[in-house]
Amino acid sequence: MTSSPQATITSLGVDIRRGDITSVGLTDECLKTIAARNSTLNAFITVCEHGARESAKALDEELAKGKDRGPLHGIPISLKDVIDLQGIPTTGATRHLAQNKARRDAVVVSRLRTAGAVLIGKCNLHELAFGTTGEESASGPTRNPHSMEHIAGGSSSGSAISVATGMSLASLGTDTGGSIRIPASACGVIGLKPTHGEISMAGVLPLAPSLDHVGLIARSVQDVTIVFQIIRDVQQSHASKSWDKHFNTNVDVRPLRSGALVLGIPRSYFFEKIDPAVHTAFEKTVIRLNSAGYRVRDATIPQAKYTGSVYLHTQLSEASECYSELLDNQPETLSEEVRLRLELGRYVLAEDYVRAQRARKILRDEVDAELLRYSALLLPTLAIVPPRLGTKTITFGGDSSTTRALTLRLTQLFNLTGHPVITIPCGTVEGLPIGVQLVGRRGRTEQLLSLASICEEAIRG
Amino acid sequence: MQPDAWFKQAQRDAIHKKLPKLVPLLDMLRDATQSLRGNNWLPLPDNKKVPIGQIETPLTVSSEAPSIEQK
Repeated sequence: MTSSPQATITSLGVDIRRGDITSVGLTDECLKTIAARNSTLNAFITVCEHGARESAKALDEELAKGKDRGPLHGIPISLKDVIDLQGIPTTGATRHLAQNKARRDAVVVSRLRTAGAVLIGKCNLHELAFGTTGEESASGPTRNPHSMEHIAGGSSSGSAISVATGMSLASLGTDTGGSIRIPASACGVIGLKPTHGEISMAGVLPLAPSLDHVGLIARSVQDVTIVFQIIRDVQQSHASKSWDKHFNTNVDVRPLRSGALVLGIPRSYFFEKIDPAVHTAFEKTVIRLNSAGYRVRDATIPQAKYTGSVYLHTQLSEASECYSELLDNQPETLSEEVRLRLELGRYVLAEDYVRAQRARKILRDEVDAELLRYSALLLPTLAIVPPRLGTKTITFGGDSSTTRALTLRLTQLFNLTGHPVITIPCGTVEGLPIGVQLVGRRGRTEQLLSLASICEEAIRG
Repeated sequence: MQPDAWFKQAQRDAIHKKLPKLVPLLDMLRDATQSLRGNNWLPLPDNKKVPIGQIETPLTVSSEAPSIEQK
């Protein structure tokens, strides 16, 4: 039932209220799928079997008595294992935190509980959310459900796998450079990174606070919208509390006006290093959008070519600061790959961090300016087809790049600028999913979701 | 400090800390630092910045494309 890709929060919610299924039945379905597939896919670090069943039973009883908590009532949802769930360890997929039992729920988790979600377990990830493949984890590597030999993408790997396979109907994750969008694209599901600062990070392990976003993965834009509306910070929307505050940001908060949608494709930089098969799949999506009546035009972000260097100086510095104590005292508990990246951040000079923050503001202004001309920006999510496990470098046309650089290449700019982005599946290449990103205006995540729901059918094909 | 001088020092430090695999990563960071410093990061002129409440235009540009209400 839940493993059918057609099963969504929306459709199952109807079935629950009609009495065709119960929350206990739905939870058992998810637990059965986990039991059958987790040993190979490695999506979960902790499965909350007992707690989930008890919670589902209580929610069924509530509904029988006429108490309906809304669209998430009785729906199994999973959490990336950087998000606190009371009484369960938040491991961050690192050995050092194996016994780090959460004393209370993260803010987003308490919102899910209040809304009646069944919290089914904690998902595997790239260690400390510091990686894009999902291969490096104290709990072992994750695998792509569409092909076991390929990466699931990261860092929210287990979250994407759990939603793609029906182990849960939605999953909360985090995105610092693409960590929700990359695995969502690689596993063929939908991922949302909202505007920076729109969803509380309280009770969530940080990586680089000025880039960190809580977001989510689900199976339809409608499902993403339902969960987003429940977990967002209503009091502190449109990024008012984040780093943006220091730059006196101007955020448009007026409601969406009806009219035609015009999408802008930022080709320069973004299409300079891209797998030809991904490029072809993307252009087919553009043709479908054109055929459906949407206007698609070329856009320009003049300084986008500096994205990698600006991101590196920001992310490495902040991550090293977050984990400086661990680096000083127990570096041996980290995987070599993650330790080296954290060590690297210690060599970023303060003057270059400051330069990078100045550059961020300019990049943000450039993206804002393009969003004056277009309803949203459209670009692929990943520059490559999910590679085989263990692939360190990838070459197109004689030019070799690291897998890490290529997986981040199309996503990280919008962590620097804070714009909301959604990834939607747009096809497959050799059986592996490909996705496109729609980038919306800052502080207008709901408008982006409306726009995405309109285009979803044409994008999926 | 000039990136070349700084990163030479950093590489010696990495070897001293018995982290030889950090050396190629430091090369990569040095290149990124040179790229960051190589651009003159002038802010956008005010007339190119987006003023508050003026991001509506593109949603009504095309009359032939389907509107949100039509969909």
